[in-house]
Amino acid sequence: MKILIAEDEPLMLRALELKLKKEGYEVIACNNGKEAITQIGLSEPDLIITDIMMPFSSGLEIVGMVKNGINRNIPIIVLSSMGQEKIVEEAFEMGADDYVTKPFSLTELALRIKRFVKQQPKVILKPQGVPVKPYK
Amino acid sequence: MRILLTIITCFFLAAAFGQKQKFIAGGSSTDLYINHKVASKETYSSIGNRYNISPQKIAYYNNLEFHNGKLLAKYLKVPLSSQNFVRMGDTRIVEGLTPVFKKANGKMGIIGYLNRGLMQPKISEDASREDLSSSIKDSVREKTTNADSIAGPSRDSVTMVAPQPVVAKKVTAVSKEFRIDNNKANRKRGFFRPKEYVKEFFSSAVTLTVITFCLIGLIYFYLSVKKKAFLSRQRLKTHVVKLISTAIINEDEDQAAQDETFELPRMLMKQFQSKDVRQLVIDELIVAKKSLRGKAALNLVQLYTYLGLLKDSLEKLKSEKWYIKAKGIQELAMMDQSKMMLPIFRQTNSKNEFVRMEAQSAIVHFGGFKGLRFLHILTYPISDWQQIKLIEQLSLLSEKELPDANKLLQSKNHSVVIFTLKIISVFHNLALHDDVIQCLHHVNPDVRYHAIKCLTNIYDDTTALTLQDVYTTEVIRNRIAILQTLKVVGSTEQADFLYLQLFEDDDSIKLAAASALIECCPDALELIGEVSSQKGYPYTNILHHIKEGLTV
Repeated sequence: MKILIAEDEPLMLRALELKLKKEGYEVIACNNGKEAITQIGLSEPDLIITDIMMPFSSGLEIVGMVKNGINRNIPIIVLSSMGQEKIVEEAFEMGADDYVTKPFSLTELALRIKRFVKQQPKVILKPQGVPVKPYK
Repeated sequence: MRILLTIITCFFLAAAFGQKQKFIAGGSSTDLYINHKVASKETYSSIGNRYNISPQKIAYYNNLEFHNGKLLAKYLKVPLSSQNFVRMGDTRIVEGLTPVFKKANGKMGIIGYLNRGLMQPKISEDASREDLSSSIKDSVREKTTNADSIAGPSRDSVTMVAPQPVVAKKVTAVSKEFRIDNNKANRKRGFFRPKEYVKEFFSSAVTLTVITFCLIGLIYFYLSVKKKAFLSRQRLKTHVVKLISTAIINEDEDQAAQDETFELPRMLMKQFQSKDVRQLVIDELIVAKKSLRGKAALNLVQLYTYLGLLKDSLEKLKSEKWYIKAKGIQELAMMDQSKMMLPIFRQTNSKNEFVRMEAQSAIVHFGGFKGLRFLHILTYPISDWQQIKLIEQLSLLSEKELPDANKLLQSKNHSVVIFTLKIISVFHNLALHDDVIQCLHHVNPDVRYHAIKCLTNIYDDTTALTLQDVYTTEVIRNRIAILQTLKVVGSTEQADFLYLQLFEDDDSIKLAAASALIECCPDALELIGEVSSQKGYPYTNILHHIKEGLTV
């Protein structure tokens, strides 16, 4: 599973990257909003974790662009600081799927990510290699 | 671009300031003079030397008595005569003289040159030899003619007389360096004579250019040193980030307990003795600690202890400078060094406000509600901002009880009482209702105000009546607070009381009473409508305001 992390603090970005790699995910790390938007278009991640306050483009803008674009099915987890409750509400209105308030536990974040992994539909391949959605 | 414009501006300013003093003449064409401003310690003699004129003439011209001492006059007229002045048009022009200006027909123009006696006209080296020889021949012929006429000596006995120096009627420049082309000089008249200013202009320009380049060089050197330091710090930061992020994700408890877990990168190991590097590591640890909790946060604290950074923070705590001390307290608090609680507790009543704030926040961080025991010893006021910060810290805790709150409500420090009332209100400590009621009789009106506000959250059946009882003794601000509280705690029993307040003088009281009446009495809207139709303004506005509130 490909996870894109958008976080402007280098230490936090590196810590999240190492943790998620340790959990077995493929990680795309971006240290500003502009880079994150570019990478979303290029690599089509399966999950996005974004901070709210970032240079060039904020987390809210990323949420808005993703949910209004062709990638609207990508789940987004927003990282917020204390005192940003109104911004979190705004993020939810724009389509964010979950939020984590700092200070947060890495283990808790990993568990939240696993929840989204479980929710992803399983893809079955035909003998010819064409994917088919499972019958429900 | 800005630097270039600054340089160009300085260039022109220097050129402007480099120009010499102008001599402006006054008087008629036959009686010219220059107005001289007498400087301190100037005498007739010094002025006379400056203008190449006898000091007695200056005194005489100004109808003053000549003396050798200091001059009392502020201005003197220095007469211009053939001794010190050469008129324009007179072709005896020698370079090195100072131009004299005069205003005529609204325009300033040169009328002549001040001769300060520095240059004396001499024979030109390039005087024509033919002229010279012919003049010698003339003088010889003359003498020969004279000699012949007197004694009739032979030509051979004529003694060649040494030729007299030829003094040209038109005096030209004395040497090559001082030679000027008279025609050109005569053509160029008026205010601007570029040739005379060119030398000074270029010397100023060269000086300024040299200074500018030196400054640019210094700035460049300074910036390159800064850049080098910045890049070095960035490289170090990369290694620090690597170290800390590895420590953060380490979840093996057995490994974490061992000292060998944290390996310093080589780059960092070499420079770790430096205070700046250690501070960089502390700063990054704090940044990470603010964002993380749980196992990751514990790992950060262990790394901090392992690297011996506690020593650095303790040093800061002992510093005399308040901002260093405050930083030390913050570091110790963020890194959960609760064993330092006692030295930090001593700072909770520091005379410096910022040290006090950091220490109080640290104690609450370590001890929660129990940490608030510093309020018993506090003699300085707690600012509103600090109160908000502490309440925010306390709201994250699971326990919600303030120990010894009743004692704190009796504190002599009014800000402590107010802060306690706020805590009681925020955390709904109903058990302290009676103690809060006692505060309604406090000497300080602000304490009473906050007690009234607190009762909005911890009221019982008797609260409304108690507030009604104290209403008449209160100031306007507190009366409005009581009416706002009655909006929440009041009932139909307060309807008559609230109705009476509609007719108070203060419009804010009218509005607050009307708002409370709406909540307490079901028919209040009709009642207010009747009053509005009878009395008009401001009841119509109050009614309109209430109706808007109801629709929202």
